[in-house]
Amino acid sequence: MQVEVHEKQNLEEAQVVIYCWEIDEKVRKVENFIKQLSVVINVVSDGRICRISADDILYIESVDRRTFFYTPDKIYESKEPLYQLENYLHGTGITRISKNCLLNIDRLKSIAPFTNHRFEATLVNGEKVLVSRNYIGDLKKKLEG
Amino acid sequence: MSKRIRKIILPNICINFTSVILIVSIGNIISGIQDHIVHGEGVRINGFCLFACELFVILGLVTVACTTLEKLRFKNKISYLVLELSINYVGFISGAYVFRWMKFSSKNMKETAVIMIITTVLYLNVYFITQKRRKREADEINRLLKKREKEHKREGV
Repeated sequence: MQVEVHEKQNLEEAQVVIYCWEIDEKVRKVENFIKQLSVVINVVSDGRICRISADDILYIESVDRRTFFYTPDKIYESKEPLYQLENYLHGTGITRISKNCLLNIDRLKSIAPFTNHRFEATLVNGEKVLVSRNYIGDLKKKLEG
Repeated sequence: MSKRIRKIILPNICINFTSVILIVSIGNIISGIQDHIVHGEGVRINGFCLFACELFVILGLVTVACTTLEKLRFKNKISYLVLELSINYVGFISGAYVFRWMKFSSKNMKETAVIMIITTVLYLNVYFITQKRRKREADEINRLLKKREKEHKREGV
């Protein structure tokens, strides 16, 4: 795969165009990865509204009807319910792993069995989150592409 | 809910039921205990069939109780294991008392100990079987993760 990057001053935002013989698995993966980078979410941090990329998120957790976004260096908050975020982030690496948690599979390091028919997922920063048994199949499908 | 019944509750009941029936049958063969007939009102009931039905009821209740533990959060594996094992003990001993599988007195402490040992063996049996199955699932996911990581490295993403 050849990669070329050109600078253009008059563009409002970066454009990515892929030329290929046919849209195969690899092309689809590159497309999804770029899409993930361009998906941004409005969140609140220290009372200020800011935007974060879906790629920066480790996991999203809902606690007492409040939604928290965990990134490697900061925690953000949003009023969006988890199911709406799940729909919005469809097509990115973020998938549901339990009733109250969405996980970015690109930030997942490994998984191990835990109690109560659950699994314990270890993230790249060493943090651990629980994966419900009901969602393990979806997680596997997502990893298989 | 139906997925939970199909994938967790029913397989657990089946594994436990088969194990108990096997253990009791082998025990009866070794000790030479003949199956007895319980006489109802004009009905002859096979004692072992009655025991099997009673056991199924107890196993069902215990398994449902253990499955509801899923909703609780545990800090470590030990506290979960202790609570689940306690539910098993209480369930089986209550079942033995209600269905009169044996007499409870200071004289038959030996039998009570046997029930407790059987419960522990069954529990550990199911625990290790399910743990092994989940380990396999986890290994498969870790394999996919490694494959994905390699692909990302190769593509320079």
